[in-house]
Amino acid sequence: MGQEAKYSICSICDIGCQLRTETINGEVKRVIAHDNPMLAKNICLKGVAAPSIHNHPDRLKTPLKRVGERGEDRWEEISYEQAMDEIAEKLKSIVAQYGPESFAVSTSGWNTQVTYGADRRFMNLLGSPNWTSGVSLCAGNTAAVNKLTYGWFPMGDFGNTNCIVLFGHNPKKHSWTPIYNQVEAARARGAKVIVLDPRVSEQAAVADLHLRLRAGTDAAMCLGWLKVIFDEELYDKDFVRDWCIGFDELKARVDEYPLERVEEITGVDRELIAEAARTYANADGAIIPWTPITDMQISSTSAIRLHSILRAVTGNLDVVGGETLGGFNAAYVPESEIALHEELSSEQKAKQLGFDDHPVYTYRVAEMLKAPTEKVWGYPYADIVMGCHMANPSNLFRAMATEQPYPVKAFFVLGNNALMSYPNQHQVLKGMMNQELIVAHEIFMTPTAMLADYVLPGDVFSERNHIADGWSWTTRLSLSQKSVEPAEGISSSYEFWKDLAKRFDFGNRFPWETIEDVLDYRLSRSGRTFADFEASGFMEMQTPEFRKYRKTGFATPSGKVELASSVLRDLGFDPVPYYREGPALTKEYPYAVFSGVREDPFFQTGQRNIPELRKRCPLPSIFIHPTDAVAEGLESGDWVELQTAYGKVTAELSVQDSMKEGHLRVPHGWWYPELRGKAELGGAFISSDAVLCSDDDEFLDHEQGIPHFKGYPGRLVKVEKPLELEAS
Amino acid sequence: MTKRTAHQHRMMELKARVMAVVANRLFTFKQTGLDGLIKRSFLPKTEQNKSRRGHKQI
Repeated sequence: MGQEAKYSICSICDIGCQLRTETINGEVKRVIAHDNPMLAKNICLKGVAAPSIHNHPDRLKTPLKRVGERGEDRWEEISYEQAMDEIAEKLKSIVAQYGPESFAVSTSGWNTQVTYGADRRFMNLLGSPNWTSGVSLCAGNTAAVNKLTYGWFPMGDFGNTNCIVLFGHNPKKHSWTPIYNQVEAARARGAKVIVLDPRVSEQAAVADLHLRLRAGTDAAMCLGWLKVIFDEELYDKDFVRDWCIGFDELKARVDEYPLERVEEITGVDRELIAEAARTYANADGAIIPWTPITDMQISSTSAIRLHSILRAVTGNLDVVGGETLGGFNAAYVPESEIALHEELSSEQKAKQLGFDDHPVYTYRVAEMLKAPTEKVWGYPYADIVMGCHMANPSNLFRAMATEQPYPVKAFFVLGNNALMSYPNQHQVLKGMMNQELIVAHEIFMTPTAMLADYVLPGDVFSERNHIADGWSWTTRLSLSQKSVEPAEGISSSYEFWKDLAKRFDFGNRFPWETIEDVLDYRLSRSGRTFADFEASGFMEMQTPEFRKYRKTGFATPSGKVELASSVLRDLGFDPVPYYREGPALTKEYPYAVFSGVREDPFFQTGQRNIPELRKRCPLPSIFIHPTDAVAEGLESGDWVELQTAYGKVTAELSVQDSMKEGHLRVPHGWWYPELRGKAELGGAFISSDAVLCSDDDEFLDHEQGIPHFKGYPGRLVKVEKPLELEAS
Repeated sequence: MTKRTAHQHRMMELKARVMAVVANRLFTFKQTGLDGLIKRSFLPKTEQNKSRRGHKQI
């Protein structure tokens, strides 16, 4: 074997940096920068730590079966074949008793990486619509909302743009690294950067314009920008006339938001709002890249739609330097086809949880967009960033807990720490405790996996071959090579679904035995195999086409950009965007709390068990402005409880000048792997932000059912450091 | 706003397409022919690259 270096796509976070993995005698030794200078900067400290993750002594390597009570974390080791036999038998029994819709899946695409739509394929053949994912709160939902307006989810042309607008997004050297590098390169070319963020984030500190808006007011801010753009006629009148519908309706709504009102809502000076709007609108090529902030607000659908509308009316849609509608890569069979959405009956699709009350990213809207999507993009369903036809997680966990509107009794989680990833952790826990079968497919034992009946060890990026297509968000194909063989009990997520399907009567619908077989199929329309691709290079891009709508129209019911959405109107929602105020602050809960702000060493709920990463951020921190800290009689290093009406988080306080007064930042996804066996579910209830935010309907975005993670009421109380943490 | 004449659009799109073709050549493993020429033209001239081109190493 000796020493080898292969090309990899990191799957520790959702960005997918291209790297090199070095092995010696079959063991991963180092993960290093790419050898192509154009990609060499795309590496962060998490990627460098990959060998510690891949070779970690706590990696799950043998399938486990629960022997104690659910959540007791007592297991027996069994063979993979026994586990799959028993899982299949139990799932068949549940489906026979409760119907196929009683089976639900929650997954993440980035760390499982090679599912290739096999999960949806399995579920569609079985008859269950209840697939969900973290992308329902992050990027996948954005994709679905973008489709309402112009039928696809665009990607910013960073290489040619002259203006970048970051709505709360804060790409850093060690978080969203390739985006950070692209922003830096654009800035060096002279592109303007506008940041909208309550904090003085790293990006805000060096921005050309920084608008410190109140958390959760993005939609109002965008309406203010449009007010300036319309009043000063800074929009592309020809494009609006020829390619948009609903301008008058939109303008009437925008006129309800004079800058005085927007200033009052957002807390940003009206002159600065106008300057930012002019800077964006006057740039020859401007982009508003995807942001995880707008994804999670009570006006999320409107705010995401307003981003879309800004792109369109300023002439930045599908042009060089603007945001391009890539479509599917013709050389690679998309997951949308592999998933076999057509095989799920209309009756079962209508049972998807969320279909009735929060339909925007469910099958309900997918069906409404099916004909134009096929006409423009060649496939009836477009699974962009895996999203677009998902169950709503709040509806799903409510059904798991209450059995309303019907029982959900089997829950599979793959690469997804569901207990800590969705709002209303109490309900998620109750739902999981009410299951007859939980299967987790994971690389480490997580709090969610501790609640399972079976835990199957998953693989990591160095243990599999893969060609990434950015989940159809890009048309780029990138190579990731298997560097080492996984241990015998480890499976990829594709193998898991294929092996499960073999135990059902539709096993023949999974004709690809290995990942390489799937990749051969996915490349078959370009007359190549995976071996051909692997031998030719590490990446290929389709030659871009622009302004494609001139030939095909847009993939909306009208074929135009829908400034007033016909889909939303048909569903009974307001067809034009609006601003909705989040839950009001009170004397009892006086702070606006927002979840998020990434800690560089971690992605979501992961990596707290990796020593070199954990030492960079040993404990969770709640951020507060110095003035507020003084008023509370608190200082950095104090232990506090951040309390809301729904739950509490215990963490250390960090007083930061960068914070906006009246705001508190709570970190995401904290648990304590070192407390396994010492605290309930590895300390999953000490510092988890998932407990803070309600998912009652009145606190959800109407159209998607998205929780308001950006500006909910909370308060601080000084406490002692938790005993469990003191001891550890 | 991004408002360009039809000619400006066409020129910018042509340039973007050409750049994509060039980039694709940079992403291949091939070191000879057009791919090799483009790599030698666009990638930094490292010692490794120079020696591949037959330059005398210092």
